[in-house]
Amino acid sequence: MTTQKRFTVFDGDSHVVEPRELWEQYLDPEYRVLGKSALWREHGRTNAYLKVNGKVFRDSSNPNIPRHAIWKPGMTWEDVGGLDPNVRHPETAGASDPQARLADMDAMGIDQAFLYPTWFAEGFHLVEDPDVAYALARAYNDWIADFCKAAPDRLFAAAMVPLQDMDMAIDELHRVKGMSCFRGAFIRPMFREGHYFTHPYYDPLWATLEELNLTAAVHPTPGLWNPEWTSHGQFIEKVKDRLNLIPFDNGGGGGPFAGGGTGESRPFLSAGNPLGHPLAPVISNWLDNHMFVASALIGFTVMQRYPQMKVVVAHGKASWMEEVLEKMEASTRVIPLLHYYPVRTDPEEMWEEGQVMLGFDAEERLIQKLPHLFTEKIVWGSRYPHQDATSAWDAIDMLRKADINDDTIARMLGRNAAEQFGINLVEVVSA
Amino acid sequence: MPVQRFPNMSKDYPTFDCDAHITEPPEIWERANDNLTSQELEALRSTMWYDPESRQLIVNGKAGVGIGSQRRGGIPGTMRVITNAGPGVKHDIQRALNVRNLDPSTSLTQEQVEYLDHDGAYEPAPRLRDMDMQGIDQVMIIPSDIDTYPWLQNALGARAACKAYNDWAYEYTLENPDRLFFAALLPLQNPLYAAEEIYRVAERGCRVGLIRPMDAWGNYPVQPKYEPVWNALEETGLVYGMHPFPASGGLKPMGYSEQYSGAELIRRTISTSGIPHSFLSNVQNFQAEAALWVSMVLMSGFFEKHPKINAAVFEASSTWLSFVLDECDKAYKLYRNERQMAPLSRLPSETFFEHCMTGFEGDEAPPSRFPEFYRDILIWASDVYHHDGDDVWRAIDTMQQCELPVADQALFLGGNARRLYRVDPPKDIIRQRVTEIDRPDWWPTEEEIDKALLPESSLLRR
Repeated sequence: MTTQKRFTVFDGDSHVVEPRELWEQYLDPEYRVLGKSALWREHGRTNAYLKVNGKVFRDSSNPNIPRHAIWKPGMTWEDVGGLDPNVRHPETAGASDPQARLADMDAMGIDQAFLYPTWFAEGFHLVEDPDVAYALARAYNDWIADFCKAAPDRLFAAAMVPLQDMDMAIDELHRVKGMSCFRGAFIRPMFREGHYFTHPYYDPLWATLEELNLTAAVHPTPGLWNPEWTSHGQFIEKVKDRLNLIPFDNGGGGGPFAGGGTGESRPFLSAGNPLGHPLAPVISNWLDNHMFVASALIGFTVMQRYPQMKVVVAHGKASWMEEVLEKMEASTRVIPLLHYYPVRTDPEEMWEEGQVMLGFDAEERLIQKLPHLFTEKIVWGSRYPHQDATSAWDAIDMLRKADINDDTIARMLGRNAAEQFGINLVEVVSA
Repeated sequence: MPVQRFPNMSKDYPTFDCDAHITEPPEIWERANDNLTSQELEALRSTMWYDPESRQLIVNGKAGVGIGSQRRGGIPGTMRVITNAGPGVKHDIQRALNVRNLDPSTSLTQEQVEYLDHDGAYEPAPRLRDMDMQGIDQVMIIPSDIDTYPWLQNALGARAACKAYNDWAYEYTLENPDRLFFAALLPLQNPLYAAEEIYRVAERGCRVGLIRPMDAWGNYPVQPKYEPVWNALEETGLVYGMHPFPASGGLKPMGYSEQYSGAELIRRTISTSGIPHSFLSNVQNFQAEAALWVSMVLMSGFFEKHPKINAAVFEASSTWLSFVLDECDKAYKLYRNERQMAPLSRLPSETFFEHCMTGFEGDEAPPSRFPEFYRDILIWASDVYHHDGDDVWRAIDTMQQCELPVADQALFLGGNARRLYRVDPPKDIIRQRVTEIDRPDWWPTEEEIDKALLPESSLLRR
């Protein structure tokens, strides 16, 4: 495998795992009780759950394998799949400890990284009380800022923004703008309070990001700890969980209450083995990102109305980009018109001119085959320390084997992200 | 009289349109008396019935449901989105007509909407004429009210509705059995009824059993109770025709609070925006349903349990397949230690290539740039007469721009579909494009079309 490079690698999608100290030391004492009720991760000896607004969402998979922070440099996906599920495996230290992380970055061939949350990504947008959300956002931002101080020229972060109250969100954006590690605002593409980012409520957010030159750092999650209707993941899991259930009235094909209401009252005669693991991670990240780009950025013209706002849509592949633009072009023509905003009918040109980039994985076949179509519009991310992480060495190796030249690789793995996040590239790791 | 002109194009291979639509006409119900038993007719009346006096489709007792029968002839001031993409009614022209409809003084008249409500959507003879102009040698016809059938409450009524439709569709294809084929509706409300219907339509030469991949009533179509259906597909050789659709939710009964389709989320991005702004209903609805079905069947080992079943993924584009298959493989490796179902004998992607084909439309370029991946699994669809439909010449144009070899064009545009459906090519094939179509005086001019493409032209009047 490749272990040499002559360019800077900027990891545009890696994660921290929020430690208890974030709540117990960084959260304003006045909000510690409410904050731990509004959003809290518990990973105990016998059970694990995420608490959101006082409600418990239990882990659906084996807590012995913390898949959100299990990958370490040198591991393959087969290695992860070979871990003994009956033995408790520790979280990767670099998920919460900056020094351990920097050592892992060195091993992975990563010079600089942009950090996304884990549990805040999963639950923060769902917190209902705006005051508590504001306190939690400040606590997260102060904690991650201290985390980044371990290497200010290598570690950068997405700020948590309390969208629950737009005034507070704007105030927090102005505050973090003065902190050098923050180069973007975290946005999870999901429904909040029953509406989406197509709602005019978010116009001040886009305007402020544009004004402050902060990047909209869009990142989905599979939503395994979320209620239905918030993003794609929960529906996928529901359907998967019924995969092998055999109803009492087998042969009747369901009935008027099957799947309706809570769905809990349906009697089952027997059940075959369930799949045993989540299915949402297979497709939900792509679908959530795809919906954000198609619906909010293009369909509801956020890209048009805020043309200088920079956007990175991470962790959801990039191969789908051209297909979306083709279909959007058709939609501008054949859907009966009901437009509140003037909608451009040339989405491909708009995309070329725009400030939006998509996160990609080096194994994406279409990018390996047709790199020239993507060169200027994609940023690479390792996904460290999530279970499906890859190192920069892995990525460079795959892209070189696809006959992509080093200058293009350097752009895909570093320069694009640096430009998008406004960061000076610094090469630390060369071999 | 205006004449619409097209570039001269030709082809020397037969095309097969794997997914084009008919619109269910009132005739299905008018003639149900001839084909159904009195018990079935009674069940059909209480389940899904076309009332000729009010011109309404009544489903589960609810009037005004569905998108087909009740609006034949069109409604002035509207575009009939499921019947207007006939020969030459290109997307830019539809845009110009949509713009006209924003202003009452220019909106489409009854005569104009009738002109755009193509008879071929309902009748075989005009369809064959349209196919000649669209370069379509053979076609698989698929119904349009796909968001309705899974919600039929009465299993007897659902069986009757499927029989009535399938009998009508079969007769439709008799107009030219070498060129017209039908995909059968299946009453999944009772798997035994669905199995019976598979055997019945197989005797009439049907090649495809249609299944909507959604969770109406909690009945996602891969659950164990459907084993009789899968067995029937294996025995008859009918293809599992997986056709997604937008999810209106219009037939959810009171109190039904669950999500039944990923497509519902797309609709919600519009309906919860708080402003009147429609745009993208054709973009992700189909992919969300299709991608879930693909990952479900591959990860669960569906095809290993039913090795004789082949499937077609309709109307969902295909670009996403290149990474979703890889994500399935990755998930299988990552979760090997926690999998509780039987181990797979091969990777999910390998199973897809063995058992499935996937549809694409003429404006989708990436598959034509990547023939080594798509060569054996891609089947073209026109989607006519639905509004985003287009002719084969559009697809050929896209392929030529991608410099796809003609041999691959022939596979994508017909060869693969005929292999999947096990049908022979027609005796005669269309070789030359029709380059001129006479149009009525009100047809949009080039100037009007160009002007309509300006963003401001689409604004609602305030």
